[in-house]
Amino acid sequence: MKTGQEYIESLKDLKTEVYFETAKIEPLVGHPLLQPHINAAAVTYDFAHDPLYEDLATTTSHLTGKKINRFTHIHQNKDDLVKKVKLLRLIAQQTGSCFQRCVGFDALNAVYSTTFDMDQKLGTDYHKRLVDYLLYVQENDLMIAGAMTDPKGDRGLGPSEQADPDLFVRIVEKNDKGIIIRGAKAHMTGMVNSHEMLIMPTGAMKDADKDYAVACAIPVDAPGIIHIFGRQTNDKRKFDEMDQGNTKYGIVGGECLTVLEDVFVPWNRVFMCGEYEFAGSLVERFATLHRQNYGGCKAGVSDVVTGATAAIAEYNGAAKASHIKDKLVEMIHLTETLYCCSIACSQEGGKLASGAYYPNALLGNVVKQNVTRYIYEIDRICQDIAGGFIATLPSEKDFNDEKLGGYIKKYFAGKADYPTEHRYRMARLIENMTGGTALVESMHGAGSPQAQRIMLLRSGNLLHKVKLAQKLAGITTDNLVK
Amino acid sequence: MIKIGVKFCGNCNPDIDTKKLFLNLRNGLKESIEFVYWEQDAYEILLVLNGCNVACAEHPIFMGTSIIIAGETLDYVSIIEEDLLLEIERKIEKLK
Repeated sequence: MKTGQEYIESLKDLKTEVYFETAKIEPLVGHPLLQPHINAAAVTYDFAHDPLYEDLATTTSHLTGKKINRFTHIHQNKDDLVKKVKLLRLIAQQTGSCFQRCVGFDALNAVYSTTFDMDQKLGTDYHKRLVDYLLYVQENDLMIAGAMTDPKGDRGLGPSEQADPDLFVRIVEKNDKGIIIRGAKAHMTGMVNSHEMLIMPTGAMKDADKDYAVACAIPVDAPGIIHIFGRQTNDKRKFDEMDQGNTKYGIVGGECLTVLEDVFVPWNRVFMCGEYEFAGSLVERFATLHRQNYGGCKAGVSDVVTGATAAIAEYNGAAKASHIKDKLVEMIHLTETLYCCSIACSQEGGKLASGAYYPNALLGNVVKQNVTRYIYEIDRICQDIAGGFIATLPSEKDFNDEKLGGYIKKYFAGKADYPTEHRYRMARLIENMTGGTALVESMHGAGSPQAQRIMLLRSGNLLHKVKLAQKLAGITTDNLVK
Repeated sequence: MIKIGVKFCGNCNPDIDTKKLFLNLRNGLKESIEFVYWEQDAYEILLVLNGCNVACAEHPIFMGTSIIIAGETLDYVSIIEEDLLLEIERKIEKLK
């Protein structure tokens, strides 16, 4: 297993091509725009070596019997599913940010079980290829970017119906050595500081979409790949210290647009190639596995926001007010509700044909649906208690200026027991964690709210509920609602 | 010198500070006890430090005596955090 430092060193060996505001970012490691995200991902490596956290951060490979980083594991029982959620909460508490590595973790699990099903039905050898790849990932403790979301163009049209055929990643050529793919993947969390990406289709597909039904693994620095780094709220503050809020770990996952311009993939790294009838199943499994996470990581982030709220109330001199306590209770209630749901969907998970374990899809989608609402409410309460100064504070440069700093320290002071700098720093952390990009991630990460509602209707067993009502209403069983 | 293997839970939402508890324990008993990593050495007693009463730490296969801390409990008996150190020391003394 790699340490955090070994992970960072390994990134220096890559030739990943990343651009921001027209310029190529070189080197990636150490660059202020990227380093916070690298630091957050490095925690997933360091915790595997820390006796205090290893019980969650490591496990035993079902393939080799060796101790491995949990982020490279295939869930073998319900305990694995539960420990995943606990691990995510733990790391989010320590980083207050997205540590990115769950996406590839979920992609590996989704492709593992789907390739098994494909081989059973079609006689293909995709699962063996995936297992060989997984061994490579575990042995080298690699960080994998899960790459699902296509740009999608006209949302009313399918992949093969778009005016531009590249708006979903597609196979443009097959030869005896492998395939060549073209297109792009959007909102790619952790991509620029991963070793590899695991490409998956973005939705259910039809016969006409065969060329778009593709799953494969590619190094992030393979020829033909460029990454265009996304903007974040206040991202130029990454060049400051206090004004960043979360100086070491930043916010969310350092997302990018990954462009795949005729990228070659050898056959041993291809896990789906035209089998469109399995695209929907793969997407559903990845989505459920990823939505399961959000009551873990977002609970951990909310633990920090709740702590920041209690602290700023104290700095403001308002901590003893009864409405403050009541609002803090509400934040705890909402946070633990998110966590409950992630634990529940893990405990109610089950075994798939491949032997891998999978969370309960209905409850997993409830987790994420709740996140699209509760995080906004948690953050709203936090901003309510913190006060408007989190949005109007002067800059760090002015705070430290010989002439201006004195005024800022004087007029932004709170309770006399604490230095103004503590109030300033906590305000910046709150501004960072409760606004802009961080909030949007809660809405759309792991799928937009409507995607979960479709799954809720599909998994909600509505007919069973109708039958229950009809029985109690005394309606005869030969006249059931269909 | 008696050896005690130490295993922590993952500390995702701890009610007690198991790291501080362990460091104080090790410091207090350094003359008579050698604390070792649970996965490496042979030891006579296994000390499992869980941060809360869920007690989800995986236990290694161990045929000897275990001492289980799970939040504010010692072997499932309630003890406030401030008293845990003393009670663990007493327990170890009895087992020596």
